[in-house]
Order: sequence, then structure tokens, then C-alpha cells
Amino acid sequence: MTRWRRPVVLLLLVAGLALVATFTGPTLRLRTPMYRYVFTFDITESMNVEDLSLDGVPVSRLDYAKRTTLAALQALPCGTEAGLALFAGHRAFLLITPIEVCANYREIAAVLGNISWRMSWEPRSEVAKGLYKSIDLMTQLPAKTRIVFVSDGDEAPPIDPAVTPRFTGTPGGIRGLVIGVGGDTPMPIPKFDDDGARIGEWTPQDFENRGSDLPPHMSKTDVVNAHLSALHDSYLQSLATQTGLGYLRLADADALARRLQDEALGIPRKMSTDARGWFAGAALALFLLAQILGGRGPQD
Amino acid sequence: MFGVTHPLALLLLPLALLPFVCHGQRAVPHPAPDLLPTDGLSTLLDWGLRAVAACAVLAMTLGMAGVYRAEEKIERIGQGAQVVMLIDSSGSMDRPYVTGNKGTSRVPVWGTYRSKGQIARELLAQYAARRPQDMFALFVFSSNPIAVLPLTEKQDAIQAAIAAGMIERGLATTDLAAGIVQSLEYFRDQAFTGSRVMLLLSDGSATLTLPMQDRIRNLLEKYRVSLYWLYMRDQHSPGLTPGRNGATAPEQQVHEFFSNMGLPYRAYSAEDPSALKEAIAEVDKLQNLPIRYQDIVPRTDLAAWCYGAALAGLVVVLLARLAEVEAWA
Repeated sequence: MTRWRRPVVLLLLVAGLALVATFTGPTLRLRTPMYRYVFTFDITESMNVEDLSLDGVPVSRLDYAKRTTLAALQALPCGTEAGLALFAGHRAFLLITPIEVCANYREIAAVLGNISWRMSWEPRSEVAKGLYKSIDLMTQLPAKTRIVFVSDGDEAPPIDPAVTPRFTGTPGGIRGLVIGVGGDTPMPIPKFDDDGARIGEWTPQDFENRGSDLPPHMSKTDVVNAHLSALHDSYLQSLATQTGLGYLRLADADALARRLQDEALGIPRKMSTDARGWFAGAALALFLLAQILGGRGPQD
Repeated sequence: MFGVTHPLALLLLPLALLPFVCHGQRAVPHPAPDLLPTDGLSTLLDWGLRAVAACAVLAMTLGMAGVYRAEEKIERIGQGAQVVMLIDSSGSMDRPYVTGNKGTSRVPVWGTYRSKGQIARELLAQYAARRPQDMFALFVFSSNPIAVLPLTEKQDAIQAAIAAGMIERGLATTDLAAGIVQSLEYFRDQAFTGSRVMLLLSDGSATLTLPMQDRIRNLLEKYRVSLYWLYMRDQHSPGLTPGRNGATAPEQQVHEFFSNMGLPYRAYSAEDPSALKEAIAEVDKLQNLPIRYQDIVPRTDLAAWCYGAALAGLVVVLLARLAEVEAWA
């Protein structure tokens, strides 16, 4: 029958087929990067120094890091996975393995919010070793994971030049970022009692009194300055270079969010996306065309 | 509530007006159309077809935008509980289970065996997975208590928190009292829905000072929590039952204190993985009181309905086109 061969009818038929095709659930395989991080927070004492401010209110380095990280997480695309870990002493302690940030935002915010210096299991702060151990921890996770190591770089006690910690892993084997947090001017480290109430600050006397308790490699100036802490920016940078990580001095959430979406830190993933929309779009175009053409005169 | 995945597609919505501008019907020449009488049925058919075409365009556009009904929380009555898991993360939990006389003085290399802590966490993970309607929280205690996860019903988060402790070794010493007190605070600000459990999982014990004993008893009572102690007995531990000289070992004293609180408490001494599994199964059975809980109805995709509607409209329009005459007969 000729009426089946009319262009208008053919257009509508093809449009109908496209709509029928949507019910077969067509998908498009796209290679889109995703991001999976474990954020390791330094919870040692120096992180309590209040040398940063948020909204004009002075905050501790740890609080600043926590709040900025949470804000940055909000800016990351859904599908990003975040895990959380603590650093104290000379090692990292994993709190939660990476989970998707949008579906579990409330949970991640709660775990992150709970992080406190009071969870610390050791008063020492061996940053280099802690970073190496954190990197090692990433290699043990079942899925490919990037590290974000947030610290002020304050080694306590200072590193003994005779026995410097050595990185035994492959530089760049685990990718990620070292994030420096803190101010440039050395400030006294706050002191707390057993119940977590602030009872002033550490003083030079606290350390001088300890005498032979202190590691023998600590010089006189080391001891005099042991109660002070500032961000060791260049030291953290050198640790980052040594381990093949990037470095960022934490200044705002946007900059952190941008670095976290760095192409080099993306994990390639083939993702099936819903392609029904394309078929529907084709159907729509054909349908509209049929509507326009159909109204023309018989000369068509 | 409704939402769209691709809001930009909604910009195409005005296209739905096109059928009212272009009628899309075949025109047949007529010498004097003005002389034709107005036919009510024809007008109705004309506008009806335009409306159907407009609806088809609307449906296709909404489908492309990815219309969905957002996930909803509804309250259901079911079986379940609010469970706070308090896990010992001391170094001794890193050791393998030693049964009988197989113990040697050699320290096994981490990573070559399943430690007590890893086995316990595996069993807890299975337990949590079996109870999707329960809320779980996780607390680790070592020299300082570490709050990991507050009460949540999200299995992803629960499993991730349990799994985290299986990767690396535990920490040093244990502070049981602070762990119990702080983890009980997870129940603060939580609606009491029917059943509350604290699952204490440890392989050793510490002494609880009298003021701490008071605080623990008060909190357990205040928050109406049943305490279950899964005690993973060490090779050298005398067990929880007091011997001839009364409760001498710290774990016996703690057990005695828990037993005499006058509050719901059960202890399970598990010397090997299968005993631990049985203990968890017991807890599973005991905690099946009806509770009110939040169930999440996941987001439902409505695009398929849109495409179905569009297809129906398209078929009507197609049939109309096929019915068109080519010339006045």
C-alpha cells in the first residue's frame, strides 16, 4: 500500500521503533574517571594549635582540616568514594574503608566530625613514618585507592639525623596528596587534662624538666622550642616529592576539591550509562519532523 | 517527591506546543474551503489529535529528562534492633586463635593467618548483613576509645566500618571502661524503637573502677540497653566462671559485675570461631522483638512510563495519518 510509503508515516514508524528500543534498556559504556580516597588525619597534639581561622573564628588545625575536607567532599561528584583514617605515633589507623559520598554523606560527615585528638593512641608524632605506613595501608586495600595525608608536618620528637626513616615503597606506586595545614609562626601547643579540658599550653620548662627522658639527639634549641609548632611546609613538600605524591597547602575547600578531581588522580572506570534518552531524543526529532512535514500540501 | 536527572532536557518542553501550530494533517485541495460547513466532530478530532501529539512530545521530553520519584522514608514495624558494636582493637586480637596445645612460642607473620580480630569482624559483618533492618554503630577501643560510626541503617557504611579493622593490625592497650561509657552515648538523642543491644567483643579485660562501674550501670539502665559480651577466650585465660577462690582474674571480676547489675546481660565465652559463630546466632535469635524502623523506598525511574505514554500517543497519531485520504473521493 502506498500510504505506508509516505515519508510522514515512515518517520513516525522509525520514531516508534526508537521508543520501543528504550524498553530494551540500552546503555552506553563510557570511560569516565572516578575518585577513591582515604583521608588520613594527623591527630597528634600539635594539630590542636589554633593558628587558623574559619569565618573569623580561630580554630585548631585539626578542626580546620576536618571542616575544609567536609566542604570539599560536598563539591565532589557523586560516585566518588571516601574513607577515613587517623595518624598518630608512627602509623595510620583505618576507621572506615571508602564508601560512596552522596549516598553516605551523613555517615561520612559523622565519622569525620567525630575525629578528635582524644582518639590518639600515642603521644609521639612521627610524620614521615606515619606517611609511609599510610601509603602501605593503601596497598592493602582491596580496591585501588589514593591517599590524602593531612598533617602539619611537625615531627615530635625531632628526627634523629643518625637514623632517618626510610621509604621502602615505590615512589608514585600509590598516588595522592599530602595536605599541609597550619600557620607559619611557631605557636605554643595547647595542653589538656585527662578529661579533655584545656589547661594552658606547653612551656619550655615542661621539656627541660624531663632531662634525660628526652631523646639524646635533641639539641638545646630543639628542647627550648619543643613546645612550639608551625606548619612545616617545605618538609611536607619534600616528603611528598620523595613518595611521589602531590602537595597542597590547605587554604580553602574549593582548591582542595579541584586538586581532588585532578585527572592524574582519577581512577579509570568503564561505566554503563542509561542511553534511553538518546533514543527518545531521536524519536522526538522524527516525530516533530513528521508533524511539520505532515501538514504540507499534497505536492510533497 | 519527584525529580529529574537531566534538568536541561526540560528546556525542550515548549516543543509540546508545536502540534498546536503545525496541525500535521494532510491537506487536500478544495476549491472553496470557506464554503464548507463547520463540522463539530471534525474540529474535535483535529484538536484531539493535536492534544495527543502534544502529550507525546511532553512524554518524550520528560523521559529524556529522566523523571523519577525520589527515594522515600517510610516507617515500618518489623523485627530488629539498635546495635552498638564495641570491638576490642588491642594487639592480642591480632593473634591467631590457639586451640588445644598447638600453641608455640613462635610469633606468626602478620598477613599469613586470620587473626582473632579478623575472624570476629568477618562474623560481625555477616551478622549485620543478615539484619538489614537493624541500625548498627561501631566503636573501637584501645588505649583511647575511637568512635567510628554512629547508629545507621546504611549497610555500605556499616560493612565499610567493620572491614576497616581487618586490614591492618590493632593498636596497643585497651581501656574497656571508657569504651563502654563513650559508645553508650551513641544512644543519646536516638528514639527508642524497641530493642537496644551492646555487643562487646573482646579477648581480655581490664579492671573497672567503682566510679566507672556506676557510670556504666547508670548508662545501661538509662538507655535500656542489653549487654552481650562475646568473650574470645585466650589460651591463658581462666575463663569467666570464678574458680575456688572467687572472681580473681580481671575478666572474672568484670563478668561478676555485669552479672550482678540486675540488668539484661549475657556472656558468651567463645574459644574458637565456631563457638563465636554460635554465640552471634544466639544474639540474633534473642533480638527479634518487633520494632519501628525507617525503611527506604528507593528512587523509582518513571522514564519508562513516559516512553510508554509517548509510544501510545505516537500510535494514535500514526493511525490517524494512515487514515488520511489522498483526494476527495
